[in-house]
Amino acid sequence: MEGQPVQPAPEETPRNTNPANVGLELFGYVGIEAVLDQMRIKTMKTGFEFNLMVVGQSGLGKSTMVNTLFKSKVSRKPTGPGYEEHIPKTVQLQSVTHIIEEKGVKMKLTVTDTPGFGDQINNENCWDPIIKYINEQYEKYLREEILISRKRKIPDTRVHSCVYFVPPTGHWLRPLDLEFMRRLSKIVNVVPVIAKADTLTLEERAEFKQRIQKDLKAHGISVYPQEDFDDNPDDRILNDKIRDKIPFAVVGADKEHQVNGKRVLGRKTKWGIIEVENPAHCEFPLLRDLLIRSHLQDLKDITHNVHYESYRVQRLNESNRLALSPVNGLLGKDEVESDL
Amino acid sequence: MAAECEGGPAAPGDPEETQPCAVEQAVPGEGASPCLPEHAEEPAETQAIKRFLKEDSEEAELAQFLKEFPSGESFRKVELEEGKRAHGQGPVDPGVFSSVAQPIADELLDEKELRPFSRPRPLDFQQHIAAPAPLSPSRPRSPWGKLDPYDSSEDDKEYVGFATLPNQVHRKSVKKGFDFTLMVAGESGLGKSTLVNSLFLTDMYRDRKLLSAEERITQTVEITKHVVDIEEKGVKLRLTIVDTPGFGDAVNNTECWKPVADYIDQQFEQYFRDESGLNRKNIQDNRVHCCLYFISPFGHGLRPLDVEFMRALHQRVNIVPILAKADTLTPSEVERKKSKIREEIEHYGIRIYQFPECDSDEDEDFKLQDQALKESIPFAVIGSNTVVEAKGRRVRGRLYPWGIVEVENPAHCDFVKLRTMLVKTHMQDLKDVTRETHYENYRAQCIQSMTRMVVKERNRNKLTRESGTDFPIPAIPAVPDSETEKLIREKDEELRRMQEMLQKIQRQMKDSH
Repeated sequence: MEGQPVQPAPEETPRNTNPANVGLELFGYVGIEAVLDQMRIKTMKTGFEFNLMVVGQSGLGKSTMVNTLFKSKVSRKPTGPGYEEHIPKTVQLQSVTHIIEEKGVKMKLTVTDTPGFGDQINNENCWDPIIKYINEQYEKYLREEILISRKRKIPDTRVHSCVYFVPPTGHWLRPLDLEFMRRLSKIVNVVPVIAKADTLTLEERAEFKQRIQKDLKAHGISVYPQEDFDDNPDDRILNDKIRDKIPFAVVGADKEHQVNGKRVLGRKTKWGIIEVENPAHCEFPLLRDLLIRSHLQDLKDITHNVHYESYRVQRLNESNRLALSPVNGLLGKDEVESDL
Repeated sequence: MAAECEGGPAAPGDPEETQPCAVEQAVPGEGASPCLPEHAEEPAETQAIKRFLKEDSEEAELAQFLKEFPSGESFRKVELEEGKRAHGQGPVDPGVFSSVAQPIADELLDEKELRPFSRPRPLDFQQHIAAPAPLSPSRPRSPWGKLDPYDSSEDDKEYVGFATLPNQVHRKSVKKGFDFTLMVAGESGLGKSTLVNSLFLTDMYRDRKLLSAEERITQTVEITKHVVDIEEKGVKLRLTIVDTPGFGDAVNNTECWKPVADYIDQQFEQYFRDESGLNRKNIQDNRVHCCLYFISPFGHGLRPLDVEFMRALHQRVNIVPILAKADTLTPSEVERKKSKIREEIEHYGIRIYQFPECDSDEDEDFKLQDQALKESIPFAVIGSNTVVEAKGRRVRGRLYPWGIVEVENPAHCDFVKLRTMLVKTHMQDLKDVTRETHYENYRAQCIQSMTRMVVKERNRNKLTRESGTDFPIPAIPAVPDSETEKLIREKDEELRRMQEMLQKIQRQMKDSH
């Protein structure tokens, strides 16, 4: 903070050690708060990056959901009427990058889709390509970071959030879901959602959620927002509220209909119109708020501070062990422990 | 009179004409299909009959009673008006009777309910009216009462009397009761149990326990059977529902259809043994008559697992594909998915259950209905265990914040079509196809493989050809294939009895080679 024109008086130094003493007056306008403006201007110029991955069986509405989230056709699905979906034999990952802008803020959004996940008869190890991809992104970042002359802004392709689509069977999580989430919640922020939730009545929805939460707890799977990373009590309260509602029951739609004179995004059936943005109908607004409006920065922070760091530690340990093991086996182990 | 009823018993000179009709009726358990040649005559005589019947209310009352009891499996109706409507959809649409049945009061119905009957030919009305004389004293009191086609002394002298065969067959089959085995297959969570409950208006899965997380990881495919006895209007139905919990739920689902295929084959084998056995009085028919396969609405058409399952089973059982949880789809999505699934079924060469073609002499309404039914495959269904209030009526449905889905509303889903097809119109046909096609295929294969083994054994043992009675005794140690040996041992009893048949088949096979 170089901008302080006034030297603090000697009797006022206790201020630094006593954060509760906020109300100490300054003799004039210091301009500390201008930092926020500076940050804002800077980020508007550089823009944000956000990498989202969507995982789930084909036909669960992943691409439609992404389109609805960002209110534009960002997913890989072309919109022609004669489009035919075919199931690929192995899991492939396809990334699409778009730059979207709102109120002067630019966001570089990358959506990674995973067609072929869970569609085969034998789905063992179908999560391996996904884990490999996520680790590759971490590796790329790591390499950039340990260079001698680093770039000013390292391009961040790490996956900040993985939205996992659970089919609305109404009964329980399938073994495939459990295996996938168990493995991936360790390396990335997993946000489970109940896809195509317009097939469940409200009671069924509540029951299903209860069972899913119980299952997740029984298997020790911690999904976003993780309980361990709540910084302060305020966060904890907020996140607890969110954790009650995980997984969100969402419905995606990319068509608009007229309801009460307004145009809303929704699905029109013979027995009514399901409004996607109506909190009484589905929880899509909650998901959107979580991912974009309130917790986007948090997602990025946790990815950077927690998941990336644990990957980095692991990698460095490996390379240490490789470097030191033939000669100083014990020394290597000591170094490893100190690193941790 | 005689001129109008060609082919009927009025022409005593040509009994052959009536022959095919009677033979058709004589097969037990086939009460569902009435005498078809008869039907042809009916429309022509409608006018004449109408005239007579309007004057005689007794006759009209009979006609009403007949309308309520089609010969064949009748079923418990959900609502009475639906029953009346549905009746008109059956292949046995008695256009004659419904047209004259209108002015009847309902109370007359009750006293008739206990009597079994058949649908007498229109000729009989005329005769009855023309000769209303009381029974001749020389004739014993007929067990058929008013429904007896022959009810005058004249008839006794002129006719042989087998027009009561339909009555006899029907009464026998109603007394014996019917049975039907339905299999439901598909991934869990697609609404199979709910649909079964909705279809038969029972709660079969009341005591079902959902497994915990640990138990589920190691779950394998099981086959469970629930048996329910339903009775409606004096007709008994023993319904067996075969469920396949655990199908398609694991991470690795290779060959998860094997337990299902094995079960079906087991039932065939059991029936084969019973049929070839000595005591054939009380054969239990547990063969699966129909398999409802639930396709998930969340995918894009058929998944690889769906294709594999249907391909493994289409030679063994009648498959009726169903698009489950259809309340998740808008009408255009339903159409798109249906046509996609139909395309894929054809593309992969899967032979699902085909509805029989309607005869050219059926009326237009019926033909249109049949066409609509064929085009609705796969049926997009919704099931519900709860009753909700909609527009002042209590209906089976699902209550959402944005509306109420009615299960029995044809505009909402195809549930009504499925139920009609399964229960009211095609139940007998499903059983017939199972019996005639699938079971016969299995039996022929079985016998062929047995004869091949027998021939192999014979050649190995170098027995003389004339000693057909000598079946290879399994004590010969030189047999390398232990499986065939076991099979031979098992089938020894039956083979001894069936040796003539086997020889005949062998000869046929040799001729055809």
